[in-house]
Amino acid sequence: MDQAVKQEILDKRNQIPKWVILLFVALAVVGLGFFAIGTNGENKEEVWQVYLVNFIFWTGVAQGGLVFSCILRITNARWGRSLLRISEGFACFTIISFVLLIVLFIGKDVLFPYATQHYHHPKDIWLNMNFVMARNLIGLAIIVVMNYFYLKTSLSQDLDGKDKMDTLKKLAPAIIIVYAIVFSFFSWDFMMSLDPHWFSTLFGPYYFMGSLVAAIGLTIIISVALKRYLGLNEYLTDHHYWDMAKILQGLSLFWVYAMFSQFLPIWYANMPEETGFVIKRVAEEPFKSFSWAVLTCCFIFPFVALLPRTNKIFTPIVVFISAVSVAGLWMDKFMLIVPSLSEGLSFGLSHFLITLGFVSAFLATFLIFANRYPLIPYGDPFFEGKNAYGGH
Amino acid sequence: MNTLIDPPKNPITYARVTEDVIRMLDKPSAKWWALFIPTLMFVGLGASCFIYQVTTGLGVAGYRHPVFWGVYITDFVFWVGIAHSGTLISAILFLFRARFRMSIYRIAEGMTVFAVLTAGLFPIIHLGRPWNFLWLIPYPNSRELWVNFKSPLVWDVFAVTTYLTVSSVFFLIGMIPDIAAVRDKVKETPRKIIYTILSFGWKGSNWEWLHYTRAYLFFAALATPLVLSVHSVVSWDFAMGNVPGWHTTIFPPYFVAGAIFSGLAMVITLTIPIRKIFSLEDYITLDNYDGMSKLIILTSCIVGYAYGTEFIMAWYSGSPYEWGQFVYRATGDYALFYWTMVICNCIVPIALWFKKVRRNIKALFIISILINVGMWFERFNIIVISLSHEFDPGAWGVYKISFVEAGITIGSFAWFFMFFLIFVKTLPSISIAEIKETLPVPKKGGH
Repeated sequence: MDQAVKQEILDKRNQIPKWVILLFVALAVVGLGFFAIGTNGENKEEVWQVYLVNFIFWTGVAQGGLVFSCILRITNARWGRSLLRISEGFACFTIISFVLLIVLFIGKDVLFPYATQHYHHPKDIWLNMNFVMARNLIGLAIIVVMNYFYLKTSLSQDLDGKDKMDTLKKLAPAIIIVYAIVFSFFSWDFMMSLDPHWFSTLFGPYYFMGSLVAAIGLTIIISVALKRYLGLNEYLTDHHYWDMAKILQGLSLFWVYAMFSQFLPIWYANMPEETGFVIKRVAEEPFKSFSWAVLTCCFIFPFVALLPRTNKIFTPIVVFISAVSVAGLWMDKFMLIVPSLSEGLSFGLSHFLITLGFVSAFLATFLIFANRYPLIPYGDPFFEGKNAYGGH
Repeated sequence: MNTLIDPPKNPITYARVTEDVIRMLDKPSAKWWALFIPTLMFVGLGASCFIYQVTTGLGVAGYRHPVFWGVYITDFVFWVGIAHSGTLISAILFLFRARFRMSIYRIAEGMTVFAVLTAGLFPIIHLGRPWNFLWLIPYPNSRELWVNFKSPLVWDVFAVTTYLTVSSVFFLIGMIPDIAAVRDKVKETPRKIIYTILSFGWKGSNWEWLHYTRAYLFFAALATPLVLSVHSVVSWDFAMGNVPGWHTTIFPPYFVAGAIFSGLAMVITLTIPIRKIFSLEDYITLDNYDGMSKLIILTSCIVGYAYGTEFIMAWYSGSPYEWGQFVYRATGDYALFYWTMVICNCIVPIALWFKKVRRNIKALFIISILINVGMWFERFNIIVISLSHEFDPGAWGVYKISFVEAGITIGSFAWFFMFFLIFVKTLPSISIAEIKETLPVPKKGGH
């Protein structure tokens, strides 16, 4: 390990201005305040819905970031080593997510139709509120614990200088499997069952793969910001963004594949118990136009815009495309949740401020992490120093 | 630091690669004929069964109410599935720059082409009047026949023929530099002419390589969506139908993952004997098997996830037909097939989590065959059990495989191996050019 590199990266930690962290914390508190006021107001349904959308989206992104790091470790990918810590840092938010999940269950009577209504067997078992709360809280708790051990091991490579590759490579597949299972439960319980008679077997993968896409988009955005303000140019090169953009493009194709795989059989069979969910979203206003926006932001725009090489490498463009994609995936969650619960579409100040609160809470946790721990995993055996590019 | 290529015992040089690969194309040995002749006999068995079926009628094929999609459709889906790993290894792993693909991708590509050729037979065998199969193709004709584009079966015709075209072109283009190398070494006239034609006048100049590598990259990028699309369309043959156990949204990714799963297992099944017979231990290394085994673990997990999700959703849906179908699968007349599938596809691959198993050739060979058995039964279960147990209890029934179907299925395996045996003896089954890329630059006097 190069001592100069180590020192340089450790020094970068202190360059993150404290006021930025404080600003995000303050914005998060403002968001929380508006949420607390909103839950007692006239539009409490809407406030809870926005809360749910943000909870689903940001929890998915937080864990998706860690899963991306796990994938890099499992595949021995040398190319993405310097991005690994940034994306795994997202996972710090899962601790906050756990608290947010408990808060979510306070609003269960407003939010979940199955909390107040009774359904026939077997839905009375699966959608029993205690069972729903138990499985999701336990699932997220397991994830938080696994994240803790993974991050601890990963950081100890840098801070203690020990080679922990074997431990990490054993933890990584376990984390991915637990991610797929727990986030499938999230998607079923917090999105699919909001329309309790509708079901789709691909719904789980559609959510957890979508979260991975959003996490990759957000990794691009945040790493470019860090590169710019902390001067990480020698660690995050054009090659990294070229490859990240390719992955983003490929996964946007996967997202549309998962969407279309659900859409086509339902549209073709046109059976009343299934097709209502789709008709409400794609054939009737106000959601129809919104659905086209989702498709454009999640697939059409990123896929086409990322075709030329320049757009993959020139960071302002990559960041813009990633931002559109991440915004599209947020709207996607909005479209999966809100039409099941309300007839109309409305945006107000509370929507904006609650969402801003979530963004700020996410960024604040990430920056507190970045302020404390090295952002480039210099202790990783596959990390090859400055201006290095493993190639595979 | 662990590397992906084992250090060879006796160093591989540029000259040795060419010699080793071209040596595989020598005159067939007695061993080869000992494999080839029985293969031909089994092809004959399949052909006789088919002739018997055509002359007697489809009644001999074990079709009976309510199951009219049986073993032939199972075989069709099975072989299309086998065809998947070829393009996965040659295109997707190429884009991911995964080095372990180098020595096996040619064999996998060959396997792809032959598996599609095998799969393509089954929809025709399945027809009552197989000579009318041309009616599937939309061409202007005096009878004013036109295909039904609303039918997933027609989408299938297009998906599979596109896949055959692209995978054959990819296969042949990828071979150009290697065939040129063979052309330069071969002396006899007929072979020389064939290799000259297939090498498209390749000289190996810088200019040619520049364009060639660029073109290969584009081909890989264009072939990649095909890996997803073909088996997705095949899955829609079922998912579009309103049959319990068929109509479900997870089918496309589940079928694609299953196809890659079975295809990788087939690559392992095929490469292990070849590696042994031609002493290719220096090229097809344990690291190659390690990489493939890891992909098998991944796809096995996806398939397992799909089994579980289908079961939970069938229960959660509250539909008595869906749930009845899945209970019947696990406990009904075909329970043995169902549990064979679960054990072979979900339980057996757990062994691959251990590094020792991934690097044990014998264990891998057994596991890969079990996976293929499991994947055949998966298709059988999806197709036959669903049809046996639809909505109306009065219309339930049990399907039995007839000897004609068994004969044609065995014949299809022989047909596939026949092509494969011919391929091994006529075309370079290991990429000379790409293996050379991984070697250190030779010192002077090294060749």
